[in-house]
Amino acid sequence: MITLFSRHKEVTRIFNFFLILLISFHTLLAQPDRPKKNFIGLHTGALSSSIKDELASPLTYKGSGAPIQLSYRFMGNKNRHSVSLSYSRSKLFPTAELPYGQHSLDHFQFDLAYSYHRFLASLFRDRVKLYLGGVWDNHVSVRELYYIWNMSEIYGELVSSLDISPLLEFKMSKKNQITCQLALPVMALVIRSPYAQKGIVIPKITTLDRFIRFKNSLVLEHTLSRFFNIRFKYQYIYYRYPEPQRVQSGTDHFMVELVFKL
Amino acid sequence: MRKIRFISLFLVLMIFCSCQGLFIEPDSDNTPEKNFEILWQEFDRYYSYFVYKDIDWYSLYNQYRPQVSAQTSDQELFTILSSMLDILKDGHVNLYTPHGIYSYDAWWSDYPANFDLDIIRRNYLTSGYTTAGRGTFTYGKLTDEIGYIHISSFVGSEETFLEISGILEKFRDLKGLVVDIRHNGGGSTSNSDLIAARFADQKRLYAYVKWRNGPEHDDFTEPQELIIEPSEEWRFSKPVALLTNRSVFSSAEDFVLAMRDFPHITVIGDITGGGAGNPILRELPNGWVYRLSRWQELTPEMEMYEGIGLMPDVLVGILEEDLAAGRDTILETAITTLEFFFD
Repeated sequence: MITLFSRHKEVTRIFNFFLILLISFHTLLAQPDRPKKNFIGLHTGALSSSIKDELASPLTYKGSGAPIQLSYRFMGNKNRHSVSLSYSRSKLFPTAELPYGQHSLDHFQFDLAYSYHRFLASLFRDRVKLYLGGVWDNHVSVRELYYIWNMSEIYGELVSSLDISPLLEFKMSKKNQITCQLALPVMALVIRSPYAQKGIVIPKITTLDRFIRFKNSLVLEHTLSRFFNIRFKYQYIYYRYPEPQRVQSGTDHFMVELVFKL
Repeated sequence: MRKIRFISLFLVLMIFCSCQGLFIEPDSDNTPEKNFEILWQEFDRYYSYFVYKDIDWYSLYNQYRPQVSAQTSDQELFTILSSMLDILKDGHVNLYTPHGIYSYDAWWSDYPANFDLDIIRRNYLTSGYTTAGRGTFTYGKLTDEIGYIHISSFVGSEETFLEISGILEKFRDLKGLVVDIRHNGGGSTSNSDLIAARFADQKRLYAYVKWRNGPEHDDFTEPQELIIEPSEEWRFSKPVALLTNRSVFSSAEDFVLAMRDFPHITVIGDITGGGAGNPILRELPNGWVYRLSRWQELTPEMEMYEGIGLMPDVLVGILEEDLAAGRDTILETAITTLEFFFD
């Protein structure tokens, strides 16, 4: 009886929570002139990737895959906050044709980033706005290299970096806006596959001269309705790290994002 | 309409803006000189036995590099690279090309075979034999008291090697067992460990490995332990004869190392091939694939056995005339040894 009663209380509590949530949403959406500041987006699209990891092979591996990304943006009057979580998987092949069966590489990438930008200046009667800020970016790249005869090896890196990041917003018309963003790491913590595959992995704190990366994006945002925007996004991420043997990675992302405005 | 045109223009611009590969250093040219350079450099970076084998890799560069020019044909390049790699005398070093495969075979080809499975099938497994694990296992009874299992390779899936359970179950009530790994050229150590665990009496250290971990030829990790642990399933703890010959190589030698310290195991036959390298594969710009050793493996006494092999407890071979007469004197020694233990 007690169990039944507590269960009923639990159900009531959950029901009340969703009711409040619904009322809050309704209240938010019911304000016609209130500028929307919270944006939740879901991206998907295609990517094209190149990797040259000299620990694994003297050749470049190239291929394509699919990314998926979930993001949240807060766009205040003077600042911008954003959090994004992305995952992608791609299949890559060496640039040379091998006589006894092709090697291949499964490339998994995870990224969690938080960025903050502060308004700096505006130009052309507020049509262009400049921001400057920082990004805390956490990137994991895991690559499983499959050789002939079912042999495989795993390589990869984990990078947590603090980046400096300029942002430019160009208001083209009432409904269209272009955003450009660049992020360059100032300091990074890098964990990379060791020289010997089974050796000890030692995290290293490294600076711009050792770990070179840039992450740039170009976004066209179009307003569909009061509650939805659509974004076409091109992003290029390149990084290079010289230890224990050089790794270079370049990925083009072509994505479409559906944005829900709150 | 204007909107669609604008978005299309943006998408086209995005594609043309594509930076992929723009900053990545292009691969070396596919020329004979570059292919030579890369192969030489990759061995220089990763090969693990230069110091142990007293090989001056730089002098080999000076000797062989002048033989390669832009006019060198693929066949000539294959011959030059094979000649250079042959100096390493390493069974784990190979070069796979459309013009042929280079491999160093002297570790077994310069020695007597000491094995013919057909003789065992015809003359010793007189009550018949069975195969399992896609032909990896051949087994039967040698006498009413002694079972026989030949393991031809440690290449394959875990499922293949889990079939050992069914085979051992058939021999559970016998007094002894012959485990024959002659002509087993290796495969995966996880597979050889899986079988050895079915004979293990306790957790034991059976080898050390040192990985090449830097650009200098003597850059190595600290020795790392290879451990064998008893299987959680029932284990065969009665007398076992483990048969070896010169063609036992690589992870098959790990199997010998793991098994030979168990108190109920006697290793009988010839010295093993001496392949302690754990190879990796790499490619060249022309698509040729090569293999090289990247670690040094040592016995629990910290002795290197690369190019030397592992000595059995009972060293015995098969004379040519015995082989011709259909006799396997290594197997006969194993039967006699096991029967001695029964008494």
